[in-house]
Amino acid sequence: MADEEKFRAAIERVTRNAERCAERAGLALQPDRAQRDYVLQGLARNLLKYGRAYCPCREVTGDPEKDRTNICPCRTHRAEIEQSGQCECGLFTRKTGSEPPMDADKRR
Amino acid sequence: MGFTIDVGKAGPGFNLKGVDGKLHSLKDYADKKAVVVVFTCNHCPAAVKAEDRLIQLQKDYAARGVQLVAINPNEDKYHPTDSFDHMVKRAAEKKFNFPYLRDETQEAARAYGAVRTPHVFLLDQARQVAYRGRIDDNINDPDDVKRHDLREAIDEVLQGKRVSAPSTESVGCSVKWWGKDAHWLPKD
Repeated sequence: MADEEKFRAAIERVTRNAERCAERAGLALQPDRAQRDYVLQGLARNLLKYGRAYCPCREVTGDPEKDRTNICPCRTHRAEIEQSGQCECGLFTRKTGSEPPMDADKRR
Repeated sequence: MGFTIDVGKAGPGFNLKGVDGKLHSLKDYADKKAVVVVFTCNHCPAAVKAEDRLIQLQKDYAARGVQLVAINPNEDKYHPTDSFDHMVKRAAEKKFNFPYLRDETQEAARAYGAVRTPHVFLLDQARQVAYRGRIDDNINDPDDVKRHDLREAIDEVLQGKRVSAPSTESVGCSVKWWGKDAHWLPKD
């Protein structure tokens, strides 16, 4: 599979995972599209590079045991959202009820 | 009042150590028509991707009296690659053509209300904040940028005009604050 196809497939995979996690947890995805795309692409790159969707905003130490806590959704995302309304990288946010559905956004 | 300094307010001064070992203050650039203060770091993918853009921007605008100043405010206990020593290495590797300063106490970052890295603040000749936010609309792909927000703002300032789009959202990783939970973000 060409690199571009692999990257696109990785983005689709991390996006689906993020949507599923958000729905299950009663959260929303970042409404700012630029920030959301930045994080999803970072997750996709880490997935391709390390085999795991590590949070792109945290350093990957290379020690799988240490890095495990940063696999998206990371272990601390709930506490972060409670504290400041969004997780460290800004992918998951508190629901406000006015988020556009992800599909509508993709159609833009 | 929000966390980030409002457009129109006076850009806060600073006096910070640069990777050249010298202290740099905002007053050093009194002769410049505009100063671009960029809060950035060594580790964040967005900040890393922004580096070439910042280098090019300084090249393009230096002769027109614009000075870019990069400031790294991140704590380096949980993010050791944001230490001063790493900043020195990075600046040398990438041949930064602008000062790269260490905001160890995070006083400058707090004064400006930097939220993510990179987060830019364009100061006009009167050193008022004329623009704040992102560099452009596509941090991931420089070849697919539709809006060069910072460049357009600089052009307007140099023409003596009011910036038509003075505020955008910064994109990147959150600033890493000392003493807070490692993942703290301002509520607003």
